[in-house]
Amino acid sequence: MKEYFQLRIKMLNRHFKDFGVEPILAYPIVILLFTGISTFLYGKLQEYAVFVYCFIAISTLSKLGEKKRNDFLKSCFIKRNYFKVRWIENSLLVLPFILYILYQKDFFYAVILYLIALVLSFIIYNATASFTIPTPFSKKPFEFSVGFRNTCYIYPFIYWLTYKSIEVNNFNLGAFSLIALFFMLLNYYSKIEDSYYAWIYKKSPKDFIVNKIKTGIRYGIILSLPICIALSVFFDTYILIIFSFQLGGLFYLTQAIVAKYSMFPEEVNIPIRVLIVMSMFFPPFILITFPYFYSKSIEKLNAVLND
Amino acid sequence: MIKIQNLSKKYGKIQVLNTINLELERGKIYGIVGENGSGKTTLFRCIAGMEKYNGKIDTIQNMKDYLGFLETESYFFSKITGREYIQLLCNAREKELVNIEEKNIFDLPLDKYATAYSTGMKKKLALTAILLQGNSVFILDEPFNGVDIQSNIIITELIHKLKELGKLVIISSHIFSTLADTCDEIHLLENGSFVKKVFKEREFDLSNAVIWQHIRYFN
Repeated sequence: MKEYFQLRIKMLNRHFKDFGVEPILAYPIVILLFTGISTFLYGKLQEYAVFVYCFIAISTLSKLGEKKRNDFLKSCFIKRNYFKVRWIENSLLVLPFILYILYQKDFFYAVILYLIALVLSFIIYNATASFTIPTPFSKKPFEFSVGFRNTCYIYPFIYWLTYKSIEVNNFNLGAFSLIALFFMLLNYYSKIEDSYYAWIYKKSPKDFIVNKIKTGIRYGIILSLPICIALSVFFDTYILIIFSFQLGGLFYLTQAIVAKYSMFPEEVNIPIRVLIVMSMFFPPFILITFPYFYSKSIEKLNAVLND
Repeated sequence: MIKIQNLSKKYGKIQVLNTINLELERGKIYGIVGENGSGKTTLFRCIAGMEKYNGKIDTIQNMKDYLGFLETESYFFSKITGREYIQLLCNAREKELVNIEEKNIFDLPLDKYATAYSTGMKKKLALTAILLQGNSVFILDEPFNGVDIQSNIIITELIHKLKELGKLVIISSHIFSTLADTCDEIHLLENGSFVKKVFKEREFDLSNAVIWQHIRYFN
């Protein structure tokens, strides 16, 4: 069992290295980011932050219950040790969340979250289950159809946050639900597909990118419109802010699509990710980053799409 | 239709393909035989324009847009259904997809996730998709691998049909008998070079070549 966890640490360190960050730097960065995001969430959402926080923790934990992974663990360990591994993994993963909840003096939720983590260590789910989740995005696969199925359990929560923001008259909560939605949509474009899926296209690099952007914007509007309409009706004085958030979200979605192909078929590297984050903190920066990503994408796609 | 001249490919210091010369004509079926690592897949990827190489490949303009490439192991997204996979490949070639049920020749469960398919079903799905793209050139890398006998017969029939339609088909396989059934020419690839070529009209030579190859592999 000890060897298993040593191997997990080695694998994690390799992920950091592949990402372009030395592990010795990566751990403090992760702690800083985690604390920063947690503080931001609690600052903005106040009493509702703990729900969002617990939801993020549980959805992270649920990944460990995937059937294939657990079949592998069961084949490696005897029954008692298998459950120990699951329990230790779940406890370690949920620990930072619990520590922050305790720091915020939400003791009740810290206990609840730990109990959920314990229960989840006994639960296995089949990611390739025979049940197919229906999606409205089947006509234009694959980013939204695959992404929607992977994150379908998050949608009710996001739309519930919008509803709650209206019920308690808290615009920040509603704006957060819109931002959370777009962050999730950006994530649909975070993984590079096999180059075969670009190679098959009978399109020039420019048409390929434009086609991807059109699909992204169309589906992005469909998913964000219910939130925007609801918020506009109930917080009509904020209509300009809502509109600019949606426009900004769509623009960052477009940038995510273009940035994804800027290193294609390689994964997006650290400098590109830094540029994306910078453009989020300082929106005018997008006027530089977007054309840069676009020209790089055209260059990279040219090698794949041109005969 | 495709003329390959002095094609060579290196991965670092490893020479994978060495001065390949080959002419491929429309309406013919070509077989490429070779042991694992002999360079078959690399050759296919070079023809498809998925790899950089030294040498020259003369083809029709934008051949990539009319080429159906069945990879040895096709990659499938984790939550994409068979129907969506076919839709994606047809969208990519701007091909409108109508009556997909009628064209589902292998009776695949199209509304299930492709990752839940068996190895053979995945192969059949990928093959169905490239057939529905309406390509004029087909590269089939190990199309019979993991496929049941009944589907094997259907695939063989399909290949014959493609030939009748004037398509160019290039196949690799370890099942020599299937190649003998379908191919007009079979080329033996060894250490990145073609070392032998046999024609359909000289079937006796072909089986000799196959036996010869077996003996060499096991010695």
